[in-house]
Amino acid sequence: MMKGASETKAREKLIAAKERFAAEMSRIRSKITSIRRRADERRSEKGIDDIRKKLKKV
Amino acid sequence: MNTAQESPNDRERREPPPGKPEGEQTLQQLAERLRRERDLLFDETLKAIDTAWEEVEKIDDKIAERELGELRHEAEASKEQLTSAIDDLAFEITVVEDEEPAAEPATENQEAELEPAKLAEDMLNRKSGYFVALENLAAMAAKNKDQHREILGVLKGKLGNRAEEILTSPELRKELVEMKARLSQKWGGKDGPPITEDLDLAKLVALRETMGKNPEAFLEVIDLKKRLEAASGTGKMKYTKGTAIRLYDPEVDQKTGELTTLVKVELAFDDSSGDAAIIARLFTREVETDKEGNPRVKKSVHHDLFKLPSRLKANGMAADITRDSLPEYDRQGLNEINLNADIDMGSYAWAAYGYGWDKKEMASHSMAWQKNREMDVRVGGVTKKIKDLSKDEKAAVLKESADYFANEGVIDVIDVGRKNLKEALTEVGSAETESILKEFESLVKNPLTVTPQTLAEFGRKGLKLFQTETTGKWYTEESLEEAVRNKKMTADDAADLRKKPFHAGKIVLLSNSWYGAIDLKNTGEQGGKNRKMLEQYLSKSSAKKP
Repeated sequence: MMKGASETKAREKLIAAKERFAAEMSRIRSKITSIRRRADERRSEKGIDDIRKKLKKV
Repeated sequence: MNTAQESPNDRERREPPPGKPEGEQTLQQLAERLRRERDLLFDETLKAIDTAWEEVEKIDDKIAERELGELRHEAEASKEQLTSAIDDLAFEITVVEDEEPAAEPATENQEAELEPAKLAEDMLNRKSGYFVALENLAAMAAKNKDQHREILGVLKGKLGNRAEEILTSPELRKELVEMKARLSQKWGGKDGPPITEDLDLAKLVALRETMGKNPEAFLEVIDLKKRLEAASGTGKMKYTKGTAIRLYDPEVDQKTGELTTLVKVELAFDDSSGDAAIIARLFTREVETDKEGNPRVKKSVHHDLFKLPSRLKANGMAADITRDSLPEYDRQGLNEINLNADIDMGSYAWAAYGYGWDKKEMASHSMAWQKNREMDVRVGGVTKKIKDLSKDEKAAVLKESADYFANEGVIDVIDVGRKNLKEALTEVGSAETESILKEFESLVKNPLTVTPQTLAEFGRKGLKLFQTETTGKWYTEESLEEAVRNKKMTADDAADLRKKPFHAGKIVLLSNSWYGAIDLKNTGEQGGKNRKMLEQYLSKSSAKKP
């Protein structure tokens, strides 16, 4: 049953699934970088800065 | 841009690992190899999320925390998908190996010899093709009381209270078969995303419990592509991104036997303008304790991402979608809509929609709660620091003192708002500064009476200020005229600014962050008041043609 063509197909399907997963992880890692960058930008923004100052006080 | 993030490991991973090339590996070896590679990639991603999390937690950046939390979910869901694909194959290999010696079809007697509990477990572990096994189990259960008890025991562990009905009602089983068939299609034709993937029986049942018999009906509501086509508007949209309906870990509540779960419904689009659009909603089914201490099922929807292309902003589309969502929510029997009204989403706008405070979230995000991490509490007769409590213990402590910390959360919003207001008024040197601030203090004197709406309404008929988007500089009507006279601003720019006046309440809520909720049923704490406000707001706004 799992011989010949169907086995090759199963193999290909599985490898494609792994490739998709690898691409997804890579996309997530690049999103983390941009989240950190935007967090950096916000850190210097007035509003958040004020909250930080307030946090430091307490 | 992605190349900058590429680690040396990424490059290594593209090469086949040492050992047998793919073609020569058995399927089992391949499955094993992919499992290892999956774990490596996943661990690395999770580590990156954790490092970033520690960084943003230090600076209390709630937006980044939320985004990272979202990414963690995405990574977990993606891992789950790959795991299912590998497990499916592993299952097929096992079945083939099991079946090969028995070339003859199983007779009734042979089937009866199989252990029912084992059959039930196998069925629950399958991602597809489980309905034949379910019918067999139902037939076995109907014939023999002991087997019924045994099978039910296994099913209850994964399907909760609904297990008995599934076993005894052919109508319900038929409905589930049809539901699974519909949900295995693609949404909106062959170019659309899959509606669901890897829906095992527990997930299928959990989805039915959470979103009703036709969960896909909700996709119709959030489908911007179809909405645009129906409105014969200009420009087109294409579907992007993966599965439309995803489920995370259905679990059976030990005390009540109720199935609890989190369902993420998301449609994403590429707009012909080059912008992206995304609508995401999270449906939860959980067991909570009411005021009398009795457990009850609570179903809620979290309005998560809502991003429209610029050309469709401010044309009433958001209101239209919310309006059409309400009958769907009622059909599903939801108790509550909740959301995070933050800087990006316009914390003023959600107050206008009628959202009240989401006490639970206001409490857990209050600075007082965050600050109290070092505080000692007694839990189950033991003294522990709040920061050392387990998730469940934390939830219990928070619940106990929910009102106190929710009020502290409101005070945080007031504090940020006061600062915003004071700074804006001081910057323009308004003669009304003192009187407006005094009025604000009397409004917020008793935080328990402050609602998002009282803040949003504050000073609506009074002084109006204007703010430039680029520099954030504040103007009064007079200073705007002066800037035009002195050629520091063009008359057109000034006219644009005048279109978006800020009254005091709007300034208080802008760049503020709070958690909002609307009870959908009159029996909730809000007594239907906020839902009425929402409906009134929605009746006033409707979509214009894009």
